[in-house]
Amino acid sequence: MFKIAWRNIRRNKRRSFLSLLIISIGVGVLFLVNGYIAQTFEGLKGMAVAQYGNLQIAAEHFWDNDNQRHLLRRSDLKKVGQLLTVGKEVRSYTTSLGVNGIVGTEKVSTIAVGEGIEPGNSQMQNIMITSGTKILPGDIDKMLVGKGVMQKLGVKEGEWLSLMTTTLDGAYNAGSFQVSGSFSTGSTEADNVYVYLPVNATQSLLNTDGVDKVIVSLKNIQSTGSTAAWLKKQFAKNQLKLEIKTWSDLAQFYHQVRSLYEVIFYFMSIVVFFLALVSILEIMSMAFFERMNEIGTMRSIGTKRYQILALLTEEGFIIGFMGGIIGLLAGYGIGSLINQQHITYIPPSINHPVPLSFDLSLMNGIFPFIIVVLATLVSAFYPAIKASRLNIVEILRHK
Amino acid sequence: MAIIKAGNLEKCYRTAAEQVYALRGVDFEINSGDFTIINGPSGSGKTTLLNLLSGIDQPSKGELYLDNLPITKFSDSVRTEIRRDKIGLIFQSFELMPVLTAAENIEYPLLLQKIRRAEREKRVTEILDQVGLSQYARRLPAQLSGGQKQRVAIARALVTRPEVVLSDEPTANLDSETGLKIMELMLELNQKYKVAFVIVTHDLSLNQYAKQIYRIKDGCIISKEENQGVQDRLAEYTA
Repeated sequence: MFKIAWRNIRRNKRRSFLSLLIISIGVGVLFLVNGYIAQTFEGLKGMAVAQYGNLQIAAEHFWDNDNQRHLLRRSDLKKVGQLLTVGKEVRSYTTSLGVNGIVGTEKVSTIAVGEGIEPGNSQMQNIMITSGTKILPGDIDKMLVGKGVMQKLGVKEGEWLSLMTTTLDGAYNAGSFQVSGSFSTGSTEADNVYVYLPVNATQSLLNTDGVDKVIVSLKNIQSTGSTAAWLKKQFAKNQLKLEIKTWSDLAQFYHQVRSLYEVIFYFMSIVVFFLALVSILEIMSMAFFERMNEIGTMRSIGTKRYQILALLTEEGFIIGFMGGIIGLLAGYGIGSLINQQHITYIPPSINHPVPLSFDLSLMNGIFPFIIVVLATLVSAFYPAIKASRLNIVEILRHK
Repeated sequence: MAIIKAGNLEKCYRTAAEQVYALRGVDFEINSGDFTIINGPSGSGKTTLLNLLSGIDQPSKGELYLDNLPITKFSDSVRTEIRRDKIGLIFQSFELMPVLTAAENIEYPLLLQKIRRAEREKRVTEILDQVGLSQYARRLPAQLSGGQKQRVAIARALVTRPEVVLSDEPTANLDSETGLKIMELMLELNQKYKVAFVIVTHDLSLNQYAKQIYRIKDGCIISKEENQGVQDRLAEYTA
């Protein structure tokens, strides 16, 4: 039967070519879209990890939004440090303390969302410096400002800024900091308000010796979940009342973009599915209709209905499978070509060009392949059922 | 021994306005190894009768036995199996599968019977030789003449070693000389394989080959004749 199916496909070259073209375009387009989305997700993941670290550890209720400051106690911090030192996947960690206030010069000021971090820590490596230098170990009065903050305040490296805030007790406090440089998170909104300063200076501003959280960088993003689970176990074992969040828990933007892209991708998949379905249905129906005599003869010499059904569905499957493979190869070829061109573009909410590239791993081609082959099978199945149920006498009478 | 036995066969087509009888009360019997021709003008019910005999169509009334099996009482699936195993069909327009070679067309019914490859090859080679097409085995139907195509169709009908071969106007699409050669071939194979042939045709010149001739008109069998002339010729084949 396979031989007959294959030869029938070869017999009508133009029709088969048209079917293959539709299927391969469908698979190729979906493969590229899926590859682009996967690559974008990777970029967003990188941005999120740069911003939040792989994991964050804080005191219980820190993330509850209950208008209270739940700081990590020194004793807890010490134990956490010991645990993180023995963590196999832990690359580094830093403490951080948030400070919100108003930053400005004598003439201009703006709202600041500041974070005190340990200078020289590897979490600092994730910050994308756009001018000047990072805050280095030993710096006690340096501030790294967001690109947008620098532009708003019209300051340069080496100039001094004041940061005004309230201590944890509610008293006004202010400090002077020298601009060491500017950075970009990739997000324009964040760059307009974010500043980094040494954690010691932040503690001094807030009049506390505590910290908000410990930001943990891991060697591998894939080990985020397992490390978080291991740490939770260790916290329970050591009776530490701490909470832990992964970058994924914290990065709402990543999930919003991901949801949007997924909706777009599934919508496109449905459109391609129905386009392929309708086109192939039309082609297959015509092909089977033209072979009614042949089908009638096959039935009359002893071919059962299910065998006719199997034969015609097999033809659809072969076309779908071949078209799918061609589509994957074409998508891979086009995607590789674009990847090599190093084309860049600026996506919404991002303030720097990002490369237009595709993740062309086979995993990203499997879903498009299945969806379009399925559409072909369904579109072949319907006319195949009709053809297998044809009345032999009617066919032979009308030939 | 009767290989086909029909009693009071009736086929009626109903439309909204009327009932059209294609066959009325046909009684019919074909014995194993018979070479029978059913004559009749267009619209007399020849093809309807052949369709009923092959189990492709169902009678409105009456009984029909093929090799003692009441085929009208079986499902479509069982009738298809009976057709596959016990009946060979030859069509006016040959009806070969265009994508298969002559040998593959002949082999196709054996594939349906799930016969092993070695046996299939043996039978195809033998029957191709019998119909004189050994050198055309690998040709596609489009590369064969009308007579050659009908020989392939005959081979396809016989390769399963059926009890009966049913043929609808087998020479209608052939020139008269080729048509007569095809009839000679069928008669020869009838004798060699002892398989019954039932041929429906409007061509009276073919009657010379028949052992029995049934005449059908307006859906009724109006006469049955034995052809003595062919008996002598049959003796030649068997000699």
